[in-house]
Order: sequence, then C-alpha cells, then structure tokens
Amino acid sequence: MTYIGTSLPISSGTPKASGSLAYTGDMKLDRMLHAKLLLSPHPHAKIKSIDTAKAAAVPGVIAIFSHENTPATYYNSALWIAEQDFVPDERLFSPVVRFVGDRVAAVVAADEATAEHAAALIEVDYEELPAVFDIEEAFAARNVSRDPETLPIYENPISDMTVEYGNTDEAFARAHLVVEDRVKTPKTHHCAIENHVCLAVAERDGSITVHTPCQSVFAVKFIVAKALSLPDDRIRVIKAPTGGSFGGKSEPVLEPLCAFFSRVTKRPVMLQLDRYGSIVSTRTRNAAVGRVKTAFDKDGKILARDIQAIGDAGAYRSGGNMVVGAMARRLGRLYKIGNQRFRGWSVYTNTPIGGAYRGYGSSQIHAITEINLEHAARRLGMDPVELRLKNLVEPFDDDPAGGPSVGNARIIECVKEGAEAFDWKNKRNRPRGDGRRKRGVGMSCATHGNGHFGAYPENAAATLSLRDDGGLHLVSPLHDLGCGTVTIMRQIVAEAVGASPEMVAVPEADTGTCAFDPGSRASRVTYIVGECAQEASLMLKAKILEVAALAFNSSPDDLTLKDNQIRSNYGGDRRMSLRELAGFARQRSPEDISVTHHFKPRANPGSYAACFVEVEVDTLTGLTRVMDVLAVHDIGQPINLTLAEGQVHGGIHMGIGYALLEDLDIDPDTGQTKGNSLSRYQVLNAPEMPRVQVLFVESKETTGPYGGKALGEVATVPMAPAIVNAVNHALGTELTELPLTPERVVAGLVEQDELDQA
Amino acid sequence: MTLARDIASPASLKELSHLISNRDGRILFVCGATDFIIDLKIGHLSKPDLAVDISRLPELSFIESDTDCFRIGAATSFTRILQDAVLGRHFNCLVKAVEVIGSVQIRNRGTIGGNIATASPCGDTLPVLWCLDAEVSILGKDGQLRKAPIDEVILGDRQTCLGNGDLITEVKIPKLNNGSHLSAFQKVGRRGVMTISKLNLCAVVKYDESSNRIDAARVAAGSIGGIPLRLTSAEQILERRRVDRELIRDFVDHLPVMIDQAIPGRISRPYKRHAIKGLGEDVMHDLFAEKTGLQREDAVPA
Amino acid sequence: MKLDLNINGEDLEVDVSGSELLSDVLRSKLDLTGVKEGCREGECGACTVLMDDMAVNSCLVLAIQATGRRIVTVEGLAQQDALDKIQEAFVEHGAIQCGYCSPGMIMAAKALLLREPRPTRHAIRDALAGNLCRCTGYLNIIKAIEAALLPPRDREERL
Repeated sequence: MTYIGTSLPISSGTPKASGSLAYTGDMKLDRMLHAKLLLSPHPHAKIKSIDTAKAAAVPGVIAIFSHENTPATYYNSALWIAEQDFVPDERLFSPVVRFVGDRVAAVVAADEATAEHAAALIEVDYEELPAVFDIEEAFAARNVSRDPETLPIYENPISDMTVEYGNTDEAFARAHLVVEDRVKTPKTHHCAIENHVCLAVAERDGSITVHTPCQSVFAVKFIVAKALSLPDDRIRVIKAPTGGSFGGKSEPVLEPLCAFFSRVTKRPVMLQLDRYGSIVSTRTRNAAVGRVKTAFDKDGKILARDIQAIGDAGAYRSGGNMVVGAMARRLGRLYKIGNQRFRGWSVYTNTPIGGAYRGYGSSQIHAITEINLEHAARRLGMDPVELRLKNLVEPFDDDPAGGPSVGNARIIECVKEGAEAFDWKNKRNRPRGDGRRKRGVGMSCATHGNGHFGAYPENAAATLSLRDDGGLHLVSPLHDLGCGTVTIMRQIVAEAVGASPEMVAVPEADTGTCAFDPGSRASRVTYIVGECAQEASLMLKAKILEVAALAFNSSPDDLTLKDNQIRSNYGGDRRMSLRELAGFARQRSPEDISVTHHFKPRANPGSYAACFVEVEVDTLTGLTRVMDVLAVHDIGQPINLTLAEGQVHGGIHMGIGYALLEDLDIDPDTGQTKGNSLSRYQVLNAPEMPRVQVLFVESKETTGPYGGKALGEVATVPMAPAIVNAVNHALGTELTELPLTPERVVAGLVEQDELDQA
Repeated sequence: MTLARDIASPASLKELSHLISNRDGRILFVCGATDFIIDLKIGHLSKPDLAVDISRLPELSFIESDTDCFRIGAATSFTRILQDAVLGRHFNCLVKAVEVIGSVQIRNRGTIGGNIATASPCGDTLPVLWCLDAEVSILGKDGQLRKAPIDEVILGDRQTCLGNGDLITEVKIPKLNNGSHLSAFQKVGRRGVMTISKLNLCAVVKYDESSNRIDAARVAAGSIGGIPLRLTSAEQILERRRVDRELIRDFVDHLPVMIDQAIPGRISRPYKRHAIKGLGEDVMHDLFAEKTGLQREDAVPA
Repeated sequence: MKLDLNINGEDLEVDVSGSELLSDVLRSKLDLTGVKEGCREGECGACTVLMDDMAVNSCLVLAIQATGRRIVTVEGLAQQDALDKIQEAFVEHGAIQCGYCSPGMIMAAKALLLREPRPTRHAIRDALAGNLCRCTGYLNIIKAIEAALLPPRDREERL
C-alpha cells in the first residue's frame, strides 16, 4: 500500500501554523452583531420577572431575548435523526432555571463589549426552589415531580434499564470469591481550547445559514428547525473549522439560539461563549456511580458480574439515558462472562448538563470494572495481567448480551505485547518503597465500538467525482474535529483509486451539498464513512478504467491506474493522466465520471486497547506523577500512523486528567461549579505529560477500510483505570473515587494508617 | 467590559505624581496586569475611576545591591528577578518562589510590587518577604514617601495598608550574610507546575557550618490564612540545634500541630496538616543536603 | 484614544478605547485573528504574542501598555510565503491537530529560541507550561520544537 499506514502530514497544517485559518470566532461579516448570554446564578429557580430597561438603554444594544419573547418549543439536543423521539425538555430560554449556568437571557449588540456590559444590567427576580446536586440523593428522590407546573414533568429517574443474560444469581452462589466495589467518576469538561461559538446568518431569501464547529450539521439542522418551528429546507448548516470538540460540540447548544437571534434581527449574529460559559453552560461528561460485584472461580475465571450504575444527566435530559445504555453495551465485549446483569439509571440533578464526551459511557464503565479487577487480582493472589488473560475475549467471539460479533478482537495480543514491552512482571514485583515516594504500576483493558450498528440506524453516503483538472472530489458530510479526518479520507480515496492524496479534495460537511450522515460520533467515521469512501473509490476507479479502456482500445482489466496515471498492463509507453481522461470523457463518453454510494454496515467490531502505567505517589503531598505509559491498541490497520499516535497521546492526556485532576466539582451547598475557570479546572500541562510509547498490534478488521477500526475514543478509555490501579498498587489502598486528587490520596493514606494502627 | 473609567500611562514618576495629586475618585495602579485584569473581571477589585499604568516607568524597574540590602523596584518583573544571579545567590528562597509562579508568560509580566499589592493569600513571594524582613516603600498621593515593614503592609486576605493613590515603589530586603545564611522555599498545588499554591513554606536559617548548628531561623507558611503565618514554635525547634535526622523529624512532625492551631475548622485542614510535612522535608533537604550530606530517606530503588 | 503601536514590524496608529486589551485590539482592530482566545485569564496561552521578544499573554496586556514595545504575532513569523522553521516543524511532526493552540505554542517556542538557542527537553517543557493543548498530549509538539532547534544527533529517539 502506498498511502495507508504512512504519516502524511495533516491537510490543514499550514494555515493552522500560520494563523490564517479562520475558525468561527475569527469570521467577520458585514453588519455582524454579537450576542452574550446571561446565565443563572441559582441552581433551581422560577424567574418571576426580567427587567431589561437598563440593558436596552445602552447604546449599541439591538435586541434582548428571554423566555418572554422566544419560542416555547421544547427539544432534546441529543437528537441526530429527524424522527428520533427523545423526550424534549430544553428550550431556548426557560421560565424556570435548573442549574447554575442555565440560560436566562441574551443581549444582541453591535460589539461584544457592549453586549457583555448590557447583559450585566439585566435585572432578574428569582424565586428559589429546592435543588439536588448529588447523584445518589437525586436517585433516592425517585418519581418525585419537583415542578409540576412546567412541562415535561421533572422527575427521576429519567431512565431505568436492565440488561441480563445467563443466570447471574446461580453463578454467584457457586463462586469461590466475590469482589465488590463502588466507584465514582466525575463530571468533567471537554476543555477544547476553542470555546463554544456559533455564527448564524439570516439570508435575504428568508433562510438561515449557520456556521458552527459542530459534529453533525444535520443534527444542528434538525434541532434548529424544531426549535424555531421552521421547515428543514430553510436552514443550511456549514461546518466551520473546529478548535477541538471531544463531544462537547456534538449537541446543538448555541445554534438554535443564534439562528433565532439572526432571524429576528435580520443580521448575522455571532455568539461566542467565554470559558466560564463553555465549562458550565454547554455539556459535560456524565458523572457516574457504579456498584460492581464480580464472581470468580478459584482459578480467576469470571463466573458472573452484577453492576448497578447511575449516570448524572445534569439539569436537562440530553442523551443521559443513552450514555447509560452505552455503558451496558460494552459488558459482553471485553471479557468472556457467561452470566451478567446490568441495571442502569439516568437521573436529573441541578447541575451542568451531561452530554456526549469522548468515550461516551465507556470511560465510566471501564473505570468501574477495571478498578474492580485490580482489587480482585489482589484478593485472588493473581497478577492483574494473568487475570485479564484468563478472561479476555478472542477474535470473532459472540457478544452474549446480543450485540454484534466482536470481530477480529486482538485484545489478548495487546495485553501480551504490552506486558512484555513494559517489562510488567519485573515492575510489578519491584519493591514499592518504604519512603515518602512510592512507585506502582497498573494496567487496564478497554473496548469501544465502531459506529451505531446494533444500537441505532447506521448508514453513510459518499459522492466521489473526477474533476476536469484530474483531481478527485469527495462529498460526504465530514466533520474534522482536528483529529485529521479529512487527511484520512484523502489517503483512503487516493489509495483505492490510484491517485495521490493532494489530488483529493474533501470539503467538510454542508447540508446544502451533502446527503444525510449522522456525523462524527460513536467512533464511526474512519470505520463506516471510511469504508463507504473506499467502496465509492473502487467504484469510481472501475468507471474511470471503463472510460480509459475506450481511449486505450483495450479492456479495463488490462489497465492500471496508479499515481494519477493510467497505463496498460502489457507495457508500452502510453500514459494517460486523470486530467487527460477527464478531458477525454467530456468529449467522448456519455458517462459522468462520478459515483454516489450508500453504505449500510452489517458489523460493529470492537476496537481494543491495553494501557500500562507507572506512577510515583508522594505520600505527604498526595501528588501523583505519571512516569511512564505504554498503550497498545488493536485498531486493525492505522490509516495514518502519526495521526493515530497523536490520538493516543491526546487520549492519554485526557485519561490522566480524568484519573487525577479534572472535576467540575459542584459545591454541595450552592450548586456552583467550583472548577469554573482554567485556573481551577486544571488539565495536564506540558511539564507533566509523561513518556509514552504507543504500539499497534498487527491485524486487520476485514469489515473496515483497509482493515482499519476506530481509535478516537478508545484512545482515552483505559488510561484512567490504569492510573488508579497503579496508585492503589503503589499505596496498597483501594481508592475508587475519581479524580484521585491530592486530598483524596492523603485521606486514603490517613485512613489506611488509622486502620493499620487499630 | 471597560476595566476603568479612565486610564493613563505616564512616562515618569514625576508625571505620575502630577497626574494623581489632584485627581478625585478611586485610583488603581496596574503593571503586569496578570492579577488586575482577572480581579476586576471576577469582582475582587471594583472598577476604578482611574487606572494608572506604571509599566513604562524606568524608575520602578530595577535591582540594586547596596551595602547592606537589595532594593527591587516594584515594577520589576519576575523574569528579571530570576535573571539576576547575584540576587539569587543571596536569596535562594526568593528565586525558588518566583521560579514557580505561573508560566513564562506570567513571569514576564508579573511583578513583585503587584504580588504585594494584590495581597492574595496564595501570593508566593509573601512568606519569603516575611522571612526576609522586607521593607516596602510607598509613595502617597500627596507625593510623600514612607516605608513600612511587610507585615504592616499586608493586613489580611486581599487587604493592605495602601490608601487611595498609594503606590508601592520598591521593596528593600536586608542582605543576609552569605557565608552563614541559607534559605529555601517550597509549594504544593493541584498539579506540579503552573498552579496556585494550596500551601507554601519558606525558611531562612543562620547556620554555622563548622559546628553544624542552626543559630537562628525564620519560618513562614502561606496559603493558610489571609497573611503568611510565622511558625515561631517551629523556629524554636530549629534554633541552637545540630542538623541531623532527629532534628528534621522533630521539625517536620511539629508542622501539623501548627496547621491544627492555625486553621482548626477549615475543610482543608486534614490535607494541609499532612502535606506540610512534605514541604517541611523538602525545605530541610534544600537547606542542608549539600552542607551535611544528609540524603532523603526514600528507599525506592531507581 | 490613538495609540502608536509596532505590530509585526510595522508602525501603526490604532484607535483604542481606554482599557481595551491587547488581544482584542489585535483580533478585532487589526484582523490578526491568529491570536486566539481561550480563557482570558492567562492560563491557556492561546493568545501568546511576543512583546520585545518575550512571550506574554496578550489577554492580560492592556493595549496602552504595548506602546513603545515590539509586538509580534504568529502572522509576523512567516517571511513572505515561507513558514518559519518552527511552523514547518509543527506541520511535519504531528504537532498540530485542531490547530487552535498552535499559534500560541509556536510563539512560546519562538520566544524560547530567542533566549535559548539549544534548550534541554526540560526547558522546552517548562517554556510550554503556560500553553495548553487538549488534542496532542504535547509530545509531538516537543518533538517538533526539538526538530526545529537542535541538530539531529542531539535528539532522543523516544519521547
């Protein structure tokens, strides 16, 4: 293969490096206005009155919006297919605010400073209502309608699901050992460096164009249409360059607002959140609490597992229930477990809203289950790697929970290769130290999906055309979030057609020109859209060769298309460039050199990873340093090696944050987000990033493009549990509440000391 | 938001004095602006009538070595302080504190005068200035110059003795006898680098190398209360003792007691009383490891 | 008020209102949108520019404080159409994913180069402590800076 597996530099590298690439917030349109939001200071309150007189009097203020003058239509921002029937509970502005950071009003003005200044002058009279912040407290307040006057009824739990197979109770009864844990994972912020932003333009013909760094232009279109009660065809959504998303920009949060503002003011409106707004007022990772019980036989074989998990949807439903569902879908795909029961709930709390976030349920469920396995290994007297090897799935195993086959699952290789490369046995058996600083090693396995097949409708569409200049043009709604999707597609098309990547143009998604696609979610893009693009490319290549056959006066089978050129397999000097072919076709052939291909997958294999980590814990300050990381991934064939490694590096960074640093940290008395700025919500910085080695096991998943599988989400999933396991190994503790802040580590050590002395 | 109703950027102290002497209303001085801008945004400071930028005043950015003291201009940036090797040799604790303030970008702008005027409980130079008996020169709105010891300038959490229009012009630090004095500073935050202090610790000792004895000690901790806390009983443990493992243990074991006394009801007390032992160990190591050959007790093989 | 500023080598007279921030003036008045905004509190470094060859967060500089200083933004690095070698190295070594932190990172790296022609890896990491990246995990950024600054034989193989 010429391009697959190489390190072609990212397509947009030069404009990004030179600063010339215009992100949404850099766009400047004629007569553009700026909107700023007023956010709620209360966790739950009725808005009794809003006085905008002072704000309206500020010169430069064009309009002020609140629940009083915006549509009362409810929607659910997690929707991505128009017909999806998710319970709608969000509107542009609500008369009842449900969390600190909820939207109260907006000022649209000539410039940002004026809008901000005026927003602060809006006077709101609130009647405070009781609020709940803690997941388990919210769960206990079941089926209590806390605000019967508003629709829909605001009651808990939002969802209640059970997945069960085999005979769990019977298996527990005969177990040699049962290990039980309660694990808590935090509400976290995506922390893309680009804050949330949207630009909406009311066009002269009455339609609205929305520019947004989103993950699904069609989701934006459907939600905007719904919220504004407009027909679909009056809205066009264009994907703008994204300054990072990680799921945070997956749900249309700002777009319905911005579109409405533009429609009313009849001018382009830019809505850019500041960091506070991005942290509290967009979406977060669902916090979770999980209780897991695992039954083992005396050899460490898992006989059964019973999990109860509650996900924190936050103040609005969004896809809270779907995240819990996603947690359940992993359960039969990593280890061979004959009997399993999962009971999962999603609850409302008066806290920032949970939504899509890289990992989507996998991060939470793997934290719960992989930490439990470390503790089990300890009690069984087994090495954690040995325990994994005894139980991991093998290639083409079925999913006993009813999901699709796991496909070419190479997790066993990941663990074996990783353990060897990491020198696991020696490091694990090394003395941890009697002094202040203790070292430990931990590991974790993880799996994540490849698209929606098996859970939701899944399809992709691509139109690939040969241009007159000999280049190739791929139209498929792509949403490059910075990970290099566009580059990957260029490589796949180039490889399949026989062109070079720089001849392949891959514009990003635009509802004006693309057929429907669910967008960048569920780790579907490389695996499904890539496969669709590969198939389309092969079809286009066949068409090209058919036309070329006319020019060469031979059969298409006698021709080769490579490096943008067609030649005969039987030698001879004759070459025809794609450009020449395009010209030839224009004149001679009735065929349009273009294909439109619809692809429906019939598989959803697992992507797999194992992470090995060494940490050093300062038992006095409680600070944990991650010293060394080895990540081994089974993603079939990496399409672009540098981009793939980059995903793993970034995923590791995020996993370290999840394990040690990051937490919105809701104040239990006020419901305020304590981690509401980057000085308080700290992510890993350059001095603290550990050494990392990334390995990809050699294998191919035949259902994916060139054997490739998804990487973007699984890249982060195993990291946090591996770190927690390493810390617990170092200290001999069983800490299970993430993040392992210095305070929690110290509290754990103090408790351990007291127990030792007792 | 506009940060001030009016703003001026004088080119000399004389121009500044002239500018503010007849001005009514609230005046705030801004130099590095790294706290100023944020504090205005979040409400720690309220919008002044006049913001005076002092970053262009040559008279306020200097480091001078006099016979018995160093004088540092209030508008001297942290980067500039770090670049002065002579200053560093005299006051290791100051260098160590400044080194861990923020990032390169912050240190290029943040100033020692700003750290004092902001008087944040987490201000990293403050316990150092406490231990070094720093003296602050203040130019009043009326043009009068006065001096005050640091513990009379910083009165509490974001509270100083500075009145309206008072400008810190310089900080004077008495020289320690280089042959006999050692100093150290350590801090702990949420992460290793670029982090606000949850706790910090400074120690300055007069040490007789020939007899391996501490003759005098100054120890202060920050991020505990509104102002740095002089740990006098910890100082007493150190004074007139030989430096050995027993002393270090006595010192370190005493620190939690001081935290318990200082912040009995604080939620952060269980953590801080434990973490301060780590800072205490690190400070003792920084002070004495080279002189005494005492190594850390960690038994972790490499 | 009218301010005399020197931006990317050019002397400009810019109309500025009172306490406007340098980052806002650069982005809105001078169209230098390579200067990004991520936090407005000096934590993320996306707004990093050079002020007299030193890296500063332009979101924490009042425009009025920039008079009499040389300000350089990422737009001022490239010579004609040729990228600066730091920029080139970023593109070549996987140091750029979404690109939003890249201008600030590149300016921080540039400032490092100007004060230390042969920095250690530790010094590179420290120089970047005030520049956050959420995509790359920093490792390829460090690799790129080493590629731009050091001869090949001094670089370690494994990050």
